Amino acid sequence: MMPENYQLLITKLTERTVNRDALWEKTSREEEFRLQLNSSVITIDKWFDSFEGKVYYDLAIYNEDGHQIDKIGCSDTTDGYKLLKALHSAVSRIHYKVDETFKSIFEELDSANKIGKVSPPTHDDSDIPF
Amino acid sequence: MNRNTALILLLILILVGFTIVLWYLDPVDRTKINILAIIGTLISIYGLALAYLQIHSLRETAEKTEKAVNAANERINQILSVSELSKTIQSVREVQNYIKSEKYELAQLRMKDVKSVLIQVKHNIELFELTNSDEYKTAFSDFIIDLNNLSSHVLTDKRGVNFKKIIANLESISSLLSEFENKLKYKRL
Repeated sequence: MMPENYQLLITKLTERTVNRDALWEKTSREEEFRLQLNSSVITIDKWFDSFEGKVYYDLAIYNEDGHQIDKIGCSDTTDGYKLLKALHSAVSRIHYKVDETFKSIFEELDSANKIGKVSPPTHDDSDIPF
Repeated sequence: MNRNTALILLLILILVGFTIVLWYLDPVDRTKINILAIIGTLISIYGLALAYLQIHSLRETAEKTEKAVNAANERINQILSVSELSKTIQSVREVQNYIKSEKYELAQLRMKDVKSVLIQVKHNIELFELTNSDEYKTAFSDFIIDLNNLSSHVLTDKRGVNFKKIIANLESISSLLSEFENKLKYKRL
C-alpha cells in the first residue's frame, strides 16, 4: 500500500503539471524528468526491466545537499502504479508538446491551403555541369 | 589624538591646575607639606591617566593582531579553496574522458569526489551569492541525478542513460567551478 503522503504528493504534482504550472526538465535518462523546487528536487522516471519484462515508474526526492531522501518504484503489479503512470504521462505530454502538436496538425488539415512541403530540387550527380 | 599628544596635554593641564590651585591657596596654607600633597595628588592623577592610556593602547594592539590573524586565516582558506576547485575542475575533465572511453566505474568514483566538493562549495560564505543562484542549483541537481543514473547503469540493469547529456551537464559544472575559482582568486581582502 502506497503511503498517503505519497498519494497526495503525486496527485498534487499531476494536477499542477496538467495545469502547466510545473516546469519539468528532461534528465540524462531517456524518460526521466526532474522538477527543481526551492530546496528539493523531484524526479519521475519510466524504464523497462528487461530481466523481469516489466515497465517501472520511479519517483525520487532529493534534498538540497543532493541526498536522495526517498524513492518509490512501481510496476504494474504494485500499488500506486496508475498514479505514477498518470504523472509521467502528463509530464511527458507537456515536455514533448503533444497537445500543441496535435492542435497544429488539425489546424493545418482543416485549412484550405495545400499542406506539406517539398525540398528544393538538387543537381543530379550524374549530370556533369560542364 | 595619539597617546603622546594626550599625555603632553594632560601634563599641561596638570601644570595649569597646579598654578591655579597655588594662586587661590591662602598664603597661610602655602606650607611645604600642603604643596607636596598637591603635587602628590596631581602626580597620582597623571599616573592613573597614564595607566588608562597604556591599557587602552594594549587593547587596541590586541584587536589589531586578532584582525590580522583572522585575515591571514581567511586568505589561507581561500588559497586552499582555490586549489581544491582547480583540482575538481581537473576531476570533471577526467570524468568526461572516462565516460567517453566507457569506463563508467571510474567515472562514478571520480564523480563522487566532485560531489563532495560541490556540497562544500555550497557552504562557502564567500560564494554564497553564486551558489544560491538558480543556475548553480540546477547544475547541482543535474549532477546529482547524473551520478545516480550512472550508478544505476553500473550496478543494476537499469539502462537508457544519455551519456552525451551527462558530458554536457559536466561542462556546465566545470564552467561554474571556474567562475568560483576566479571569484576567490581575485577577491581583495
